Amino acid sequence: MKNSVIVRELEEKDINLAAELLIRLKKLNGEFDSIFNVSDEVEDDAKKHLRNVISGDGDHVAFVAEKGAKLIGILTMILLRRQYYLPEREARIVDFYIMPEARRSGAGKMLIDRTYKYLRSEKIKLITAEFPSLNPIALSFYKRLGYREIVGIYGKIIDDEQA
Amino acid sequence: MDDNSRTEGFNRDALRYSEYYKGKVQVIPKVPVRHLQDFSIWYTPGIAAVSKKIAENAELSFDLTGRWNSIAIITDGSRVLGLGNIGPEAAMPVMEGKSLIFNFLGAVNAMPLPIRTKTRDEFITVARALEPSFGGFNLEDIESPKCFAVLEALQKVLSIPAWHDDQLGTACITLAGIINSLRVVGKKIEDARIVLLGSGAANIATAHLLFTAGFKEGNIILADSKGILEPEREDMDSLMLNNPWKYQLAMRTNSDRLKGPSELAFRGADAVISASKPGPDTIKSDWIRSMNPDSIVFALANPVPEIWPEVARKAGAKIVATGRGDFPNQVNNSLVFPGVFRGVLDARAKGVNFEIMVAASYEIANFVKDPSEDKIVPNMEEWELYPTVASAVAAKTVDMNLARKINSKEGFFKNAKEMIETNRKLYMKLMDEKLIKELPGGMEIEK
Repeated sequence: MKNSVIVRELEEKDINLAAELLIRLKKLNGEFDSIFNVSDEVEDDAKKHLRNVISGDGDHVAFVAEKGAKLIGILTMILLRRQYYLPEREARIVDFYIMPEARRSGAGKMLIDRTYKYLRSEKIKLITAEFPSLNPIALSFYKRLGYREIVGIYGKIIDDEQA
Repeated sequence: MDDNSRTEGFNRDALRYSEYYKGKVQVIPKVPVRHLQDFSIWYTPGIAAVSKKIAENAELSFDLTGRWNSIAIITDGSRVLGLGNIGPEAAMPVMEGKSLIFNFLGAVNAMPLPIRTKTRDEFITVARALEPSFGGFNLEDIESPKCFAVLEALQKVLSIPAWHDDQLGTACITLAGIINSLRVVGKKIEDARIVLLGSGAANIATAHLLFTAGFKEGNIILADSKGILEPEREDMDSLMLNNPWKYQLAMRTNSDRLKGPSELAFRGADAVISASKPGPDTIKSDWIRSMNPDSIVFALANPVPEIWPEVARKAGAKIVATGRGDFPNQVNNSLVFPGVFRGVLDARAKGVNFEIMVAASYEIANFVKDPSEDKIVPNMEEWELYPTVASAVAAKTVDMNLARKINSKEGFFKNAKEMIETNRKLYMKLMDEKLIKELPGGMEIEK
């Protein structure tokens, strides 16, 4: 059907539109915390990252949600191997963005479901998600899905050395 | 006299007379004091009996005190006129002026109350604390988007009406003007394509009022300095966090998902309601030319409309309205708020909503018996307007189960008219008797 949402793996033809979604996400992160203010290279960085995902070594996976000819959502994750702990394999969601109009339409859940299906097929048991601590929307979203806080990363900008 | 010298004259007089009168409103008694023993009735010991009654039932404060006819004009001074955030003390002259209009046109006792608050939560806390003393709140000159949050919260928690005149008053008179404009050009509400240029407090409220009045959400397009509002616009996430009211409208309006600069929204539109930056070149003639035939242009910026009426007409506009009294069709809040508050107070209303506002707008529109290109709204000197609006508002309040006091529309009208007339008589008497001092030197007003 023309206007139904489909979720599929990211492809080369998606790079430009997918990069737009990533840029929106990065700018949204900056709205919550100035430590995430985007750089001038954000567009190049986004495209480079997406190309790596597509042609990379299998450590990155990305799915997109599409409606008609438009990309309305993206989820990218990185596959990690943990030292010391079990389960050893971890999939970490690093980018997750849904276009405003498609929010609360089920597209986000479809992306998550597709991700879980992939992880089950790869026998990866642990999934994590990273997002700015000051983003209450992401926090409440993941909490609703049963995620809990498992690690904290604290940061500060170091002042220039005092004379 | 040109516009600039007239404005300078008003500025000079306002300063001079403010210094002379030292305030524009005062509390005067309304009960007889025959001799000092009467204070035993109006004050202690007798008054304790009244307090005891109210302590048993707080609702009696509407019957046994002046609460039923008292409102507070509350501001934090964060967006006063075009002056910006000038603080509560500096807001007082404006609030006093508003209080005078409330009293003169609507016989409402309106207490000017600028408050020193910074955050929306502080404002809400203070306003809530004031509720027991008043029958309604008129919020005034609060910066956007704080004004939306404050109004929304207060409307939820209070059991008296909360009104933000910059939003609701403007929206109400705008709708009245649009209703009559569409009547004049023979277009239907359900077909009309409307552009709202400027997405501040007034136009955001206007959009909601248009929805309630039956305009199709998809036929309405909002635009601001960044262009047409639509869900894919780059700043949507920022709006979602910082101005969710505007964000929600981006989702609901503009069903064609038009995007780009504001002028594109004019193409094929039937009406534009502009509450944008002062003109005269904010709206270009070409934009008007791209609208549908018999276009309607409300250029409401003050002091200079976004496009001069003559220029808009030359470009094809059939009806032009502005915020100014020196052109036909002045879209002026003062046609709304005195009657609305007279109405909600007479019904001892527990709240006010968009349905009540639509009723007020229709009453104002219908008040103009034979609308024409140059007469789509009443003017301020049509005295019957205020009790007429009051009666429509009060009756609708009853219909919506928001009234503490029930009456027929005719009953409300009679009561409101009598109150407003008596109040004017009192005022005129005070002036005739020179108990209100004459303007020193006499101020000349061009009629």
